[in-house]
Amino acid sequence: MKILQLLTTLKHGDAIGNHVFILRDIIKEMGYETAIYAEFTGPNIKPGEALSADRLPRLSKDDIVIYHLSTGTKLNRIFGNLECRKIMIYHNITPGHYFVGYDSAARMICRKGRRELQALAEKVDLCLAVSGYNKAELDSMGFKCRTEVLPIIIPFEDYKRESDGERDRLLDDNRTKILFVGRIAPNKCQEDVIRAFAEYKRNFDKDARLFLIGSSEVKSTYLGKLKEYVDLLGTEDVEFLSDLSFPALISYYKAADLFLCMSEHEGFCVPLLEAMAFDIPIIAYDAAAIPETLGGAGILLKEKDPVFTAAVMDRVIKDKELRNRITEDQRRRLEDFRYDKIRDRFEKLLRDFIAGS
Amino acid sequence: MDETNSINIEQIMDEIREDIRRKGIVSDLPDFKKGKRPAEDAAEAFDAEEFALKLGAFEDEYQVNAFPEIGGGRSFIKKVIRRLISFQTAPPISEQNIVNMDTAELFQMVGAYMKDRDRRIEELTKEVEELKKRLPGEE
Repeated sequence: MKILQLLTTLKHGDAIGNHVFILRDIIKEMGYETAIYAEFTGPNIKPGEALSADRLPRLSKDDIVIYHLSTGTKLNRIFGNLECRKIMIYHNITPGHYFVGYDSAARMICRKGRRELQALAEKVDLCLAVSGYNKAELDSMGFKCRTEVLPIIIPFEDYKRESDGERDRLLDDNRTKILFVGRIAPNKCQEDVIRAFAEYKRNFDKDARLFLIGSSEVKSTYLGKLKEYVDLLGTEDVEFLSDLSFPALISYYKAADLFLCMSEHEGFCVPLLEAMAFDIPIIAYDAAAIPETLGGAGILLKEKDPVFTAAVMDRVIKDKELRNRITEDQRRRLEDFRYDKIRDRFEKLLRDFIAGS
Repeated sequence: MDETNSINIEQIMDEIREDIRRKGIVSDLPDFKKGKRPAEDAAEAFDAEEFALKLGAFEDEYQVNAFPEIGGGRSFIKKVIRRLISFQTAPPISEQNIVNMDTAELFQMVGAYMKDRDRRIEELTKEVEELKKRLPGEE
């Protein structure tokens, strides 16, 4: 019996990619033959780490394919038609309407992806949603199989690695640093982070800096519009950073005083847990899977009022007692995502599935 | 929220809101210009006659021909090659023709809907004019 993983794009440093590699290692440790098949691979994928999805071997009815669904792709249909046991890990598909006016191709792919997801409702044997929010979506789409929540596994030990020394020196300037990590994408609403930061800078701390770390799709106009917005606001010290090395990313997390998230659609939001791991107090907009991932920790904003957000930012940064309370809550919440807990859960779910229970 | 803890975050949020309200602070920063929806551009450029002409042209031309006439030199070899690879090229062309047919039908429905709406608007406009005439002072 083989247990294979299948996905559209595999990259190191990507939340889904990291999750795939960890699951691969767990499956190997369980003693099963396994491999990763991907439609596309990033430049940092070494030869032998993954095979082309076109080379998916002939499968027997006992074989298991674990498919990571996160977008519209022909693989969604191919997966549905496989004649083997099928597990789908649902990461969520961004609703297409977020891309209107920025990236028509992404909009079409996402809309198509949701239709393809719906078509899988009766073709999957087990669904593992990375959040209750995602599970609720699958339930509303009428997925007939058992659906469980399995959060993304994060190797927190990796964040204890060395940071980028040169970057550390550049960031060691006694200035307040606000951070958001996430793809530059319209559903993540970086414009609202920028606007709140602009109010914070003019009303509370003129020396503050904002770092927006994340890659952007080449065809999307969103990043350009964000930069125009920064110019329009006349706000300085806003930096857009992408393709950082892991040590450099650690440098920014270590230096940050606050993590500000105004995203309107997330299926899980790994950067929230990363911020928790670095004891950075989090302020986030109450939407999608964010309140679930925070689990009562951090500060949730019910409205996007930049003046209010800026005032909350100032209070969190200056009020040591409040800050400590937030980070204590976050540390407690982080325990729920401990590597060994999620690993054990995945192992149990997989064993039960193999045993047919 | 743990209410036995000395820090009540909700209370702090309320204090901040009250402070802002008392000071009368509002944001006067410009809004982020959201990506312009294609529909907004289209509405400005709509021309009913142009729409009818293009719909007519689409209805006539939507079928893609998998085997167009091959002329010019070495046409026999080109025809043989085309036949050999047709197992690969014909299916997507066939699928595209189905999509095109559905699209043509969709636009026909939109055209019919628009005619119906125009007719209805004309009827309602006449009704409004009649009713206006009956208002005191309008007679």
